[in-house]
Amino acid sequence: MIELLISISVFAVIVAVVSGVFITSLRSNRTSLALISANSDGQLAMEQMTRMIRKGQNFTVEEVDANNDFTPDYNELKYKCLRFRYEYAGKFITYRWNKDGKKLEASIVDSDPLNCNGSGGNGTEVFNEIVSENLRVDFANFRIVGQGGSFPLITIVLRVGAKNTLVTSGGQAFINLQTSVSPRNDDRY
Amino acid sequence: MVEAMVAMSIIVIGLLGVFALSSSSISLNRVAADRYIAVNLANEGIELVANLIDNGDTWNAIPGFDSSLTADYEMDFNDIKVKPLDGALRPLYFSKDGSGYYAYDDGDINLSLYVITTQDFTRIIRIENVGPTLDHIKVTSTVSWNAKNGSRLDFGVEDHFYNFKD
Repeated sequence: MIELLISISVFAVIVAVVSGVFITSLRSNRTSLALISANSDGQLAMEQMTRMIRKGQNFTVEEVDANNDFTPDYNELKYKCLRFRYEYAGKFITYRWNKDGKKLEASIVDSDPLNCNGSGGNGTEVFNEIVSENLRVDFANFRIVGQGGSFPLITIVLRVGAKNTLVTSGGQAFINLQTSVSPRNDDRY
Repeated sequence: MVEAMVAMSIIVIGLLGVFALSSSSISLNRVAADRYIAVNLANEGIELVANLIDNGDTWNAIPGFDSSLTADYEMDFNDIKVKPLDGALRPLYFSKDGSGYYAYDDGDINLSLYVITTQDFTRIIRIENVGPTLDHIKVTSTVSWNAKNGSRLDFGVEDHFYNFKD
């Protein structure tokens, strides 16, 4: 009887440990795949934006401060926008980071581009998400150097991660991407 | 009892294998993430030079570039010219809680917001004239960083610019 009890106890402990490890492995694997996917999606978003920016001109950056006090505090940002005219189609493109949904969005209109807070336009245009729904865009930033009279340099920052990930890799659940683009159009023309 | 010990040992060894695989998988993801960062920073190095070429009045008039030499330079998006590499490579600081930018400490960034990352990203931009006519410039941008195992990894891109102005 005692041997049986000991055997059952040992077996139960082993099963519990094995189950725990198995579940942890599955979770790690899922997190790993999610992070790999997020990295890939983040890179894709970056490439998509740089491709369009390269053919753009008349760039402007706008931001909407959550507290409306216009202090240069990135923690208070609600929206950050990069707006430009897309050369070939003659359209206006606005890329917008939306803090509320941690989303990266775009609006493409023929004229009267939307303001960063979504107002303006002809009333029917909207911002649409441009990245995978599994991607979490923690932060985006845009900067223009050399605007006016020359070729501007547009710098883009994206901080992206996978939605619903608990385990972090190397202490980080996100990746910070930065690149700059030199558009091919002279802003003077 | 011996059978139980053997069985448990086999199970433990199996579990260790699973743990090792999980850990390795997470680490490899970090390697991939760092490479994505490096790819973008390296591309940026090329674009910075391209922007200087675009904005120059004449071909080859890249501010800070000595056209008689093949040399290594540093530059970030705050700069208006390339700066010759002087001594050791400098790290790109990262504004984790601020703008999210990677930039050099040239006195133009707020060091209370910027930190050096554990990856310690550095970038070399090499510019060289190709051929005798000075109508062809080769630019390579190489980013290196610390891997988790202590080694130093790097990623480089190369682009060629031709005289389309003069």
